[in-house]
Formats: sequence, C-alpha cells, structure tokens
Amino acid sequence: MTKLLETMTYNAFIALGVIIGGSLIGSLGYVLVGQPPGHSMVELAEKLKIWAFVTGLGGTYETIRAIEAGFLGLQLNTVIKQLLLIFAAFIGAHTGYLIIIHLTGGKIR
Amino acid sequence: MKKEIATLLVGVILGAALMNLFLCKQIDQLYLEREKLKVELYETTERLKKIRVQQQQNKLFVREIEVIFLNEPKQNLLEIELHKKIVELAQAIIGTEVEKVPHTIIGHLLDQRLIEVNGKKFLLHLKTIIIAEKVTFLLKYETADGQSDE
Repeated sequence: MTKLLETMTYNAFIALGVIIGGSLIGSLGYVLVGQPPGHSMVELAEKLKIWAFVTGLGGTYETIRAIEAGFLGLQLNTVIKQLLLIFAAFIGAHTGYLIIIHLTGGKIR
Repeated sequence: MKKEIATLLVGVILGAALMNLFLCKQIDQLYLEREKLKVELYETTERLKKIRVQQQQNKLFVREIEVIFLNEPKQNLLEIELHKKIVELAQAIIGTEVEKVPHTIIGHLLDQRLIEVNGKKFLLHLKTIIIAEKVTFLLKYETADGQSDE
C-alpha cells in the first residue's frame, strides 16, 4: 500500500513538473521568436498534458500491459492499482495545467 | 567549476522564466495591439490603393465651354456671334483632362485677339479663366478701332 502511494505521488509530481517546467521554459522559445508568452504557455500546457501523463506513467507500455494481464488473469487488484497510477498522473498533469492557466490570467479568448 | 556553470545556467533560465511569467500579460497585450495595428495597416493600405485607382479612373475632363461677356449694356446678337467664334477657337480643349488644360496658351489665344463679326472687327480682353469640367471665360470686347463698344 505504501509503495503504491509512493508511486502515485511520483507520478503526480512528475506530470506536474513536466507541465509547469515545459510551459514556463518552453514559452521562452516562443518569446525569442516574437510570439506572445502568455498565450504560448497555455497552448504548451494543453499540448504537454498528454505527454506529462505518459511520462508520469513511466513512458512505457508496462502499465497498459499490466492492465491487460490483470484483465486476462482476472487479477482485479493489479487493474485497480494501475488505474490509480493513471489517475495520479492525470491529477498531476491537470493540476499543472490549472496552475499555468491561473498564472497567465486565464485563456485568451 | 561545472557545478557553478550549471547553477548559473539554471539561474538564468529560472530568472528568464520568472520574468517571462511576470511580464507575460503585458507582452501578450502588446502583441495583440501589434497584430491589430498590422491588420489596420493592411486594410488602410488596400483602401488607399483602391482610392488611388478610383481617382485615376475618375479623372475630370473638360466637357463644356462657357463664355461670359462683362460689357454693359449687353449686345445679345453680337455676343452670340462672338461666343460662337470663341467656342470655335477654344474647341480643342474639350475632352482634355482638367489638370492638363494649357491655360497660358488658352489665355494668349483669346486675349488681345481680333475677331471679325458682320464685317466689323472686335478686340477681346480676357479677364479670367475658370478651368473646371465647364471652362468659363470672362471677357470684355471693344471695336478694333480702339473705341469701346459699350
């Protein structure tokens, strides 16, 4: 259980870091080529969300395989564990996205 | 040494990122304004081009000649004859672009000109030319022997 919580925390923070770091530092590149930084940050946060999620999960298909194995072997525990890890990564990525949105003052409409 | 350089680089990047974050609203606003101005400039330039083309197409041409005699009292019959002769003389300017009417030549053409009407000679004095779509000549005339025909 403790191991699971630890992994969930890792996943969440990795995803969070990918979104925040990627958006903040990535937008510097946009500024250098004359694009608006606020708008590019939000755009990057949106684009990076899926990658943050994947990175949080380890960037491999292991989780998917584990889910598959869990389903086929009827090991419900494994499936729930993997789903929780995915959920943690999603929470981290979405939190990062919301932080960026609020830092830049919301989406430019 | 490498550690210091790495720290410096991280500091630079973090500083730039933070500055970027603090200034992003202002920079975004300026960017938006710049884009709006670009669009406005483009529209204005296009409008100007169209106006120039229109202006070139809608050039003014001389369509009519009007002759006004300033002599008093009026001699209608004589003036009609003089009018006919003057219009004949200035006929060439009809159809000319208003801006390109050779006003000095027209002036010399009519001023101090002798015109014969019914066997009598009349000397014209051109007072004013108004050049527009309707060219107007304001003239005085006198008999050629020097006596005013008033």
